[in-house]
Amino acid sequence: MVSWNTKQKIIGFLYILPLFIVVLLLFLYPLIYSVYISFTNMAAIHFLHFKYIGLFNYEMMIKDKYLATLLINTVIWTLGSLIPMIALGLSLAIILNQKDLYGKSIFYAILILPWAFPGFISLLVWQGMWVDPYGFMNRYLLPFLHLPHVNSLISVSSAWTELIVTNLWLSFPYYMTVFYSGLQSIPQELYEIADVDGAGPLQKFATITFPSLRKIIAFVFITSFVFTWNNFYPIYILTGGGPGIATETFTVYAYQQAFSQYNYAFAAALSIVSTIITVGLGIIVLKFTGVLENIT
Amino acid sequence: MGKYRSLSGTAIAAIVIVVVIVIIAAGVGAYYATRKHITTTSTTPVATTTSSVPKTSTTTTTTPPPTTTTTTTTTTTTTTHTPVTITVADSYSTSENAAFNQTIAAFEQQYPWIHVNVEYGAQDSASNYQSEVQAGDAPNVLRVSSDSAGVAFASGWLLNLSQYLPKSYFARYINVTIQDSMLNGSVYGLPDDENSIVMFYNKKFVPEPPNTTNQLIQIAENVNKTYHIWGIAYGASDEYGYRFAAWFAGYGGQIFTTINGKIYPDLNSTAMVNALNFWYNLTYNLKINYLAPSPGAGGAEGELFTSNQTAIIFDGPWDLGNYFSALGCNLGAAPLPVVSQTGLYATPFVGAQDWVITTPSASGATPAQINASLLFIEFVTNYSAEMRLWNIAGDIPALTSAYNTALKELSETNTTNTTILCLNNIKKGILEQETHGMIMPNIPQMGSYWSSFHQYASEFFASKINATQAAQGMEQAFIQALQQSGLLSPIPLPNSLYLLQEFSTKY
Amino acid sequence: MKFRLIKKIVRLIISYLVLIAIAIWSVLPIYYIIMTSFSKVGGLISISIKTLIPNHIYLGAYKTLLEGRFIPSIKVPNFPIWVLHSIELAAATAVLSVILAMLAGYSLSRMQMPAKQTLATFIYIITFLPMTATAVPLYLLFAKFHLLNYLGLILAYTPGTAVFAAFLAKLSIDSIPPDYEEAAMIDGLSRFQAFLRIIFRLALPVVMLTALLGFLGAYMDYALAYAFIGPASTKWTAMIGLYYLSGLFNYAAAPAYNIFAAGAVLMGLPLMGLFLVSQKMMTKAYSNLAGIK
Repeated sequence: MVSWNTKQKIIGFLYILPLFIVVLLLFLYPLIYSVYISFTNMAAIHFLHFKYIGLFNYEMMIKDKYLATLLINTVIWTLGSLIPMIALGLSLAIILNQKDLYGKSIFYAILILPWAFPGFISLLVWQGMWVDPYGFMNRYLLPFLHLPHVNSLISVSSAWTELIVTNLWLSFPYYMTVFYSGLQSIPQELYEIADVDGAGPLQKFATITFPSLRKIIAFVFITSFVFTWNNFYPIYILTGGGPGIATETFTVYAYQQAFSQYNYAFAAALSIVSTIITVGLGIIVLKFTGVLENIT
Repeated sequence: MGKYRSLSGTAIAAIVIVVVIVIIAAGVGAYYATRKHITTTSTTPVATTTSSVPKTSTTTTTTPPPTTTTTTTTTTTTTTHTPVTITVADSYSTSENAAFNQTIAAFEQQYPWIHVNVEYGAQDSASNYQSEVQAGDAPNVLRVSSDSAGVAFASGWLLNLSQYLPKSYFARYINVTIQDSMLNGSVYGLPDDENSIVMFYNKKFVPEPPNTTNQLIQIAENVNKTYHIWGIAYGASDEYGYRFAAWFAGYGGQIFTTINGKIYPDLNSTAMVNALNFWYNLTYNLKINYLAPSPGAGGAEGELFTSNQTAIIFDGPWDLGNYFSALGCNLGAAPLPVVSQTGLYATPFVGAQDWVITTPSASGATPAQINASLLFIEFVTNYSAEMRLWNIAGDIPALTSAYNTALKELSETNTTNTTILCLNNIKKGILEQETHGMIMPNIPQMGSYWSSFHQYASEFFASKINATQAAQGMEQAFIQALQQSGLLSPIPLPNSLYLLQEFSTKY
Repeated sequence: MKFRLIKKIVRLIISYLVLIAIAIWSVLPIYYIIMTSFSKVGGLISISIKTLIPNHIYLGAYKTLLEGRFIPSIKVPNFPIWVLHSIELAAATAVLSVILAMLAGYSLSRMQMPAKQTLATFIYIITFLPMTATAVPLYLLFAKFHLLNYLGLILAYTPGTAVFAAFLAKLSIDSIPPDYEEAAMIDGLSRFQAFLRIIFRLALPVVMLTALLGFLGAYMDYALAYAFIGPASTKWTAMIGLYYLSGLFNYAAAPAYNIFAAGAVLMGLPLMGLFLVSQKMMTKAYSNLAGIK
């Protein structure tokens, strides 16, 4: 006789099982395979006949003077992208969530447009818009705002500006949508009560909006952290990691190693190290923000 | 509660309806497409449309494969053949495919027992096939660039054609293209196209193309002063060393050297320093070169060129169509100039596009499929196939006879049509460049050249380091990359292949 | 009272100014995409030194896509068929993502089981593995199981959205009082029925968001689709077809960015519809939620 409690536990597992199986299929085998490959010399001419070479790839990586640069770049890229994205997404969601704002559907429809176009063509168009001095940004917008020209070929800070602004454009609709959905689940009554109490907008944000969204913000931050860490298309298309290796991240470097230098084993070792770092950071942040308790 | 239920019900119903409609529509569409697909393939005698290797292998073992050894292409045997299907990865563009589809039709007519299953949209890079090779389901035949194919051959997943075809067979191709397709004395691909960058110029600003770099500077300065546009648009910092190799060679440099039979990078040379400084000077001191962030007709260089904002660019014949439609008879093409300091031509890489066959272990091919594949790659690189590519898509033939006909046609066209005359003149300029090119290294070590060059060249053109530091840096990065991929230790390859020399297309 | 009115007006004016500025910024690159799709040559209009207003409108790129036949074995215009394939794939991915995410989210929210936290963390953390590490082994694994087809693609697309959405679903289900299901279960529904009828309905915003993200991920994907079904042009998705038609696979022709842009516009249309529909749904779901006390 199975107790009610045990039965509940089994049912609970059954509900989560489908997702678990799919994730195992898609990630566990590649993970084991990549760890294995990172201990071999599977590169270029040894592609079909590779052999175990121990920690060689990891030794090369430590000797590789790029490792620290890659780590710093990846952190700049990830945080530099995420903080503006969350700030803009949240601001727009709050603006759109005003009860007395008319035409919010129209604005929402326009603001999610960047999301509805293939990233590849958007990135190419952005690349064109950044061309100095002919593209829109350097020809019209930056001079209009009395800002200096941005040319990613001749300055590292320009390259980061270009990457982060472009990535912001590509991603803010997603953050806006998530936060907008989140805001809509806050009962309007809370704000009405605060109004009666004479609370200002900042006070309302601090006492109602932010606490209600805290979980979602923390959660979105963590999931997007990993996504942005591993996202390399904007860098690959816009700057190619240049000038020098000033904007090269872990994933861009691993991608180049694997697919243009045919060095799969080294790329696998890089990916494993990158994953270990993200897992470490992820767990720390999960624990620190208390999100782990909330999502499980 | 009641209101809430009905509303939500509508919402869910709407989603379900939308999803169902979409799936049905897509299903109908897919059915429609596949139905049509099956009717067309059923017209050919072979029923299998995919490369179902086990099926064909069981049937082919009962009868011997075609006895025709593939030394001649003209033999049309009357004996009955067991039907065989080969899969062909087709990396042609849509315009080239217009020519290629005709060639396939002709092939299937001549060899009715061979069915060709074409995989359109294949990519021109070995790395795209590597996982297919590992899984053993690679296509029987591929068309890839000669340098990618070189890596694939060194990795052991391409057939050594020298074991199947006599040496004399390869003599029919232009020397450079067959040199491009050869490693360790063994030929691994039959070329159907050769290409390199040329100098495109706008006759509105540059009536006569420069022959030397001194003339180039003079013309660019004149254009700059007279018309207030850029003399040259060359994004030296955006590139990975494909175009820059021409200037490097013009200053007397070479990418590899051999020390005691071992291959070493040779980028840290005065030639590299001089070539880098030359372009830096034109860009930052003389301000006649625009450091464009993206190359080609789709990039900033092409955009400036077609809108009359720069007089000269360096690009390949693949972008000819775009430039000609924008500039018409004002467009000119000429070989890259001689570097005044050295007296050497700036010699661009001449690359070839190769038809190659994967080994049975990579594709699961049967002997019958290998034989059919050999017949196929001979057929698609024969005279009529390469002429079709030249006439329809403008691909420069790699077959000497086709190349000569193309050259003759350009000079002897009897027409008063000025458009054709202009275009022929431009094409002549392009063909002329092919005589001042160098073999594009196809050894696996070359894979590490590109990013090593890019890293330090981009840093140099961002004025972060000087040319000497850049040359040292790219050499070190190159060596380190070779160390990482285990390619610094000697690989048994003959010296003649990777020493970069100027050559002539005379064979 | 008057002071509050002024405050309200100022607040709305600032809101509209911000929205208009961001809206222009959002639309501008898309304006360039649309203008590129109307151009005759393959270049990108955004680099062009000319004015923002084009001097001619050329519909050739659209004509090529809507009427062009390039693959001999497909006897109907190619691109529309490929778009249908994409929609089919994306819709299936969306449905599967929603099912997996909601099931897992429900389990995480409502069920008490041992090692739940460990299991959830494991599922989450293993997805950190970057594409550079998964690309090759995934291909080999799926080739072994004969899954280099639509089914394999749907399976491969799903976790990208479902894992993230499962946790979002959990958060959302947490905010639904268990009383509703308990009441329903007392009325004779099984737990699964209650899950389907009550939870799906009340967590509709998350369901929609999951569906939307799942759809988008699959619809926009190029790399995985190319690896899995690249050899079979009759089965291509719109993105593969677009890469092929605009000549991005090789250097034998300059990329025809006008064709790519036109394709992006055509592909964007159904997506816009989906966005608008889902937006209405979300608002509706919200008003439902607000109506319940």
